[in-house]
Amino acid sequence: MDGNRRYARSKNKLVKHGHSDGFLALKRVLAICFRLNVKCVSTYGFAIDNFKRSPEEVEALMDLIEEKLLEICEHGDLLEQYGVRLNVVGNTALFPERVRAAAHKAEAISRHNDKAILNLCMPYASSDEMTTAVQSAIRNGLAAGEYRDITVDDIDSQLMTTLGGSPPLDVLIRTSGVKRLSDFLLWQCCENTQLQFSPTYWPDFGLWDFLPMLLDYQRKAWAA
Amino acid sequence: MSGLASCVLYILHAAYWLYNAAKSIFQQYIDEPAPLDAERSKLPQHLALVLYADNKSLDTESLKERTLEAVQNLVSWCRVVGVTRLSVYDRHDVLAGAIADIRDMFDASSGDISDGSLTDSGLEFPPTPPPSDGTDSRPVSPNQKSRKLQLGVTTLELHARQDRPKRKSSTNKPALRRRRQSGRDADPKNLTLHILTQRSSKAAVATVASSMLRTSFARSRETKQNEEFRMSLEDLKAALEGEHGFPPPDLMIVHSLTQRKQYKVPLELYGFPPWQIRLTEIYYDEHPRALWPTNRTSQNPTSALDEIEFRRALDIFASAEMRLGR
Repeated sequence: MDGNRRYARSKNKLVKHGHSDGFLALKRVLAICFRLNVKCVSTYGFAIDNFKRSPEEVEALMDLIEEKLLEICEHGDLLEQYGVRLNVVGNTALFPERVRAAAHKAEAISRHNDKAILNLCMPYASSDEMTTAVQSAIRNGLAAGEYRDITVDDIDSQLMTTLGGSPPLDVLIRTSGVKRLSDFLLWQCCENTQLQFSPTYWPDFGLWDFLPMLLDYQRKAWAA
Repeated sequence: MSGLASCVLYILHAAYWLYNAAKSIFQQYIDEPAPLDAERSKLPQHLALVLYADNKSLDTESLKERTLEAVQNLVSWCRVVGVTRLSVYDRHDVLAGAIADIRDMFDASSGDISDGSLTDSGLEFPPTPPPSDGTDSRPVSPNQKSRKLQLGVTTLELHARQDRPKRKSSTNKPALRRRRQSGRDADPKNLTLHILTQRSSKAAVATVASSMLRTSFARSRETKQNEEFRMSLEDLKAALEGEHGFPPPDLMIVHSLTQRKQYKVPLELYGFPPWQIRLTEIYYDEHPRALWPTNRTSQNPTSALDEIEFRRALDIFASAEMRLGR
C-alpha cells in the first residue's frame, strides 16, 4: 500500500489525510477480495523501517493504527460478514503499549472466524520475519535433543504468516510505481508468485487497477 | 458460476487479450533508451540477472548456449558502464554445470585475463559440488570453524587486461605513459561474478540454520549449559552475504531465454534467493516483442538478452527514488 504521502501532496492534502484515504482504499479492496472468495490477504501496514520517519508522522501513524484497530473491534462488520480472522503479523514488541493492546483486542474479536484470513503486517520486515523463523527452527532443533539438518520446510513452517495459517502467496501487488519489494514477504514471493507493480497511488487504487491482476492470475491457473 | 457470469468473464479476458496484444505490438515505437556509455545520475554497483525458460522446447545444450551467451554479453556491457559486481541466477541450474565453460570464456578472450600472479589469488572459490540427493548432514566435527558453508554460490574474479609489470616503456609520449600508470592504479574493469543456483536460494538459509544448530549443540555439550538460543538479523546477514554468499544487488533484470508465447507474461522471480532482494530495483518487460505475424511455433531466437533491454534497465534505475522507509 504505497503512495499515501505522494497522493496527499498531489491533492494538496495533509499527509495524515493521505494515510486515512489509504485506509478507505484498503477497506474497498478488501471488500472486493473477500467477495471474490480470496482466502488470505496480507497487507503491509507499517514497516520496521518506518520508525525512521519524523516523530510527528510516526506518532500520527500510531494514532491512526490504534484508532483503526479499535474501530475494527467496535464495528467488525467487514470481518464478520466474510468470516475473516485478523492476524497482526510483525515484531509487535516495537509498538507502544496502547497499540499492542488494540492489536490483541482486534485479534481476539475475530479469532473464531475461519473462512478467510487478513494479515495486517505491522511493524514488519521480511528480514526480521526470516531471522525469527530461523531462530525458532534452531530452538526446535535443540529441543529435539539430537541433531538433524534443518530443512527449507522447517523454516517455512516458522514464518509468522505460516503460523497464522496463511496459504502460499499467489499474487503480490505494489502500488505507486515503485518496483521493489522493500523487505515485504520476500521468502513467500520469490517462487511461484506473480508480482504486480501498479503505477497508481494506493488511495486511488480500485477495481479497474485490480482487474487485470485478477485476469493474469486466472490465466496462469487455467494454464497449469 | 452462473452462465451469465461466465460469459462476462470470457468477454473480459478477450478484451484484456486484445489490450495486451496492442501494447505488445506498439512496444517497438517507444523511445529508445540512452546509449550504453551515456552519463546516468545513478548506476548500480551490483547487478543481478535472473534467467528462465518457460517452455520446454529448448534442449539442455541450447539452453546452456543461450545462458552462456547472455552472461558473456552482460559482462562486456557491465565493463563499459562500470558495474563492478554481477550475479547471475538461472532457474534450471544450467550455469552450475558450466563453471568450467565460464572460466574458459573469460580466460580465453584476450584482455579478460590478468597477467600472471594476480589472478586466482584465493579470491576464487572452487565450484560447488553438485547437490546430493540426501541431506547435507555430516558427523559433527571437532573443529567447527574449519567447515566451509556450502551456500550454492560460486564467485569468480574477472580481471581486465593489465600492463605487464616488466615491460619497458618503449614510447616517449608522456600522455601514453600517464595512461598506463593510471591503468595500474585503478582497475575499473575488474568484475566480481557470482553464479547462483537454486541451492543459493531458500536452501542456503536452511544450510546456515543447520550450521548454527550444529554449533549450538557442540557448545551446549562443552559448557553443559542450556541457555535459550538467540540470534540476530546481523548473524544471518553475515552468513548469507559474506564470503560464501553474495551481497544484495541494487538492480535485477528478469529475462526469458525462450520466445514467450503470450502477449503478457507477469513477473515472477523463479526462486531467486529471497534474503538479498529486499531493496533491489526490479526490471522486467511484461510484454514480449510482438509475434507479428503471430507465429507461436517459431523457434526464432529473438529472445537473446539485448543491449536495449540492459540500457532501459539502467535508465529506469537512474530515475528510481529510494526513500528507505522514511
